[in-house]
Parts: sequence; structure tokens; C-alpha cells
Amino acid sequence: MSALRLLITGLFVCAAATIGACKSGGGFSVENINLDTVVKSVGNLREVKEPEEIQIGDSMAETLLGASPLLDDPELQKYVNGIGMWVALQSERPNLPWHFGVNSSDHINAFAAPGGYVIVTKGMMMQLRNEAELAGVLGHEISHVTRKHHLNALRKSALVNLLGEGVSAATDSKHAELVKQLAGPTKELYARGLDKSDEFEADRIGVVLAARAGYDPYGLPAVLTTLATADPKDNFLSLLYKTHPLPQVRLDKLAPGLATLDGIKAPQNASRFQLLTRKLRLAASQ
Amino acid sequence: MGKRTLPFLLLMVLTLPAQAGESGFAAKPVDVLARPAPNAPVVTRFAKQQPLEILGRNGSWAQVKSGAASGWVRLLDVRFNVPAKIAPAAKSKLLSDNGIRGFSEEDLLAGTPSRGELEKLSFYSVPPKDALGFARAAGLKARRQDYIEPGDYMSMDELPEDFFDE
Repeated sequence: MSALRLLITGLFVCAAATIGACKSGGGFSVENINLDTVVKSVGNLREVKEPEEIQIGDSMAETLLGASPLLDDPELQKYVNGIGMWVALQSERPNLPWHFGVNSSDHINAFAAPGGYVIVTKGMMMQLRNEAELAGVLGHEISHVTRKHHLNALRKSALVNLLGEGVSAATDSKHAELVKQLAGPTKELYARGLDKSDEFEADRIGVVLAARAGYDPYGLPAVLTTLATADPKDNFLSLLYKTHPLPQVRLDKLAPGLATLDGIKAPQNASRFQLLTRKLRLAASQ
Repeated sequence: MGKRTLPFLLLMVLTLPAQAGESGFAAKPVDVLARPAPNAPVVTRFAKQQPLEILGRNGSWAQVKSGAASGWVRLLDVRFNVPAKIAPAAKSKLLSDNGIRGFSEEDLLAGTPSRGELEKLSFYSVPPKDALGFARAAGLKARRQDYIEPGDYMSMDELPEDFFDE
């Protein structure tokens, strides 16, 4: 709570300083800042409406895809979208414009961006053994979106307050401007990672979404056990390890809740997964 | 006997074969039980890192074998041997590409936003009715399931010392 208080106090000081600068004709322009918005924001972090959330996520996804392009495997991309959408339909935000993609990175990771964007690396796909594991990973990422983890991280940084109202009505040029404004903070956020509590929450929601979708809920825990076995010094895991709690800690946190799903007998769909990911394994073996 | 055996047999029929045949090891010293239930008799004990073979699954339980001994342990107490995740060829190619195919922190920071890739992503998206088709084709059935309570995740001894100070 004290951190929040500090932030609010800090923002009030900023607002006061801005007014002061304005009155005295100080060295920077305040023309584009709506003081009402700033004041409203400091008391209560500005609410971001869904169209704006999607617009922000769209710009962030553009930056994430700029770091590693999509894998050229339309069959696999459609498959991951089919599974992803099916899992997302089990969430409380089924009507978001969900987009799923596999990028061409050999690193082992997965990302989400506000508004319904989920990207899984090729390296992560190579680690998975069946559809239940894929559904678990996608469920974890979908939870970051439904619980607005990244959006709230941006809101806490007060950056959203400076983006201005009416982003959703953006024109192409305004969109380009938004991408530019968000590129730096996006890179910083994904290099730093979310709060650990957000990751634990995404784990426990992710397993339930996969279970609701009719899968064995042990898909995500199985992926975590795989990651727990891997060499933490492996370069291909470096960003995942930097931005997430250790897999063993995540498993320990998840274990008591998982026990409540013990009675579920559901498929893992290994054969369809193996069929649709055959090109990946073929390419890796050549 | 009949009353007790039938559910158990049903359980065995429902046991999921996937992950059978895989190998792994015990994540910690673990009691090996006769049945997949917490109150089942202990058959033997496996040491930490003891290599084992996974024979089958039943919910949160894995049926495992090590040497002549076999039984049931909690799935979360098993670590799978890591599959051949990155072929050496792919690894060397990655390095020779100066990380272009990677998603390291450096790649992330150095990347330039790509509108073209975002448009491609939209092209691959699947409408909800097609997602239902994906689910039906695999025989998946949606089920009602409450979220896990966050309270399950923090015990008193995990709370920071100053938690009750304010």
C-alpha cells in the first residue's frame, strides 16, 4: 500500500509542478496533457476501456513480433489458433479478438499482450508432447490477458495516462505513433517480466481453463516438470528464467490447488499434436 | 471385495496411457504406493534422483517402475528426462545467425516493430465456430470447473514477517 501511496503522491507533485510550469511559462509544453485526466488518474489509475486495451495490445504485439517473426507453417499456425481459441472460449473474456502465433525463435518461452495476443516460441513447441500441454501453456498466457496483467503493469507505470484518451479512434498515423510510444516500455516490460504473483495466478487459472476445455489439467504442470529438469543455465531458457519464478517453485505453489482437480480424467491428444508438429521435429533433425 | 474392486478396475481402465514408456527420475525421496491414493500401502521408497520408467498415469498419479520395484507416486514428484529439445544442428545455426532466430533479451531489445507480421498473425486467426470444430474433431468436451482458490497458494509460514504489522 505504501508504494501506491508514494506513486499517487508523486503524481500529485508532478501535476502540481506541471501547473506551476504552465503558469510561469516554464520550459516545457503542457498543451497535450488534459489536466482533468491527470487528476482523475492519480486518484484512481485510469480505467482503460476494451477497445483501447486492444489497440494497446496490437501495438505491443507488433513490437514482440518485430523481435522474432512468425514461423512459416500455416498448418501449425491454424492449429495453434484453433486450440487457443477453444481454450479462450472457456475464459470470462471469450469475445476478445484472440490471436495466437508461433514465432520462429529457438528460445523456450511464451508471451501474451493485452486484448488477446498470445505468442509461443518454436522452442517451446518443441518441448511439448501433447495438446494438453499446449492447452496448458496457452491457458497460462490467456490468463495474463483476461486478468490484464500486462495492461495493469503499464497502468502502474502511469504510462497509459500519458497516451491520451481516444486511442481507440486512432488513424494509421496515430497508430504508428502509439507503436513508437509503446515500443520502449514494451521491450522493457517483457525483458523484466511481470510480478511473480501474476505468474502464479496465470498458472492456477491456466490449468483450470485447460480442464474446462476438456483436457487433462496436468498439461501445464507437465511442462513445468520438463522445464524444472532442464539446465537452468541453458541459453535458450535465459529470458524465461529471468522473467518467471523457478519452475519448481511454480509447481510447489500449484500443487495444493491441483489436488482439487484430481478426479478429472481427460485426454491429452498426443497423436494430433505429434502430427501437426511433425515439420518442426523434421526440420530440427536435419 | 467386489464393491472395492470395481471402482478400482474402472480407474485402471480410465488410466491414461500417454506418457507411458517415458523415463525420468524421482524429484525427491518418495514413498511408492500400491494404488493411486494417498492412504494406499507403501510398497517401497525411491531415493532422490532414482531413475524410473513411467508406466502410466491416473489423474495426479504416475505409475512408475525402477528395477524390479513398481507402484504409484505423485506425478509432481517425477521429473521427466528432457526430450531431445534442440538438435545440435539447430543450435549451431542459431549461433551463426547472430541470434536472429532467437528471442533472447538482446533480440527483444534490438527488434523493430513489424506491422507485416501482425497482419500475418490476423490472417491465421480462427473464428469461434471453427474452434468448436477443432474441439469436436478431437472428441473434447467442455466441462464446468471452478477456478482454484488463491488461498491454496499461501501458507502462514510463507507470509512475510511484517505482514501483520500495519
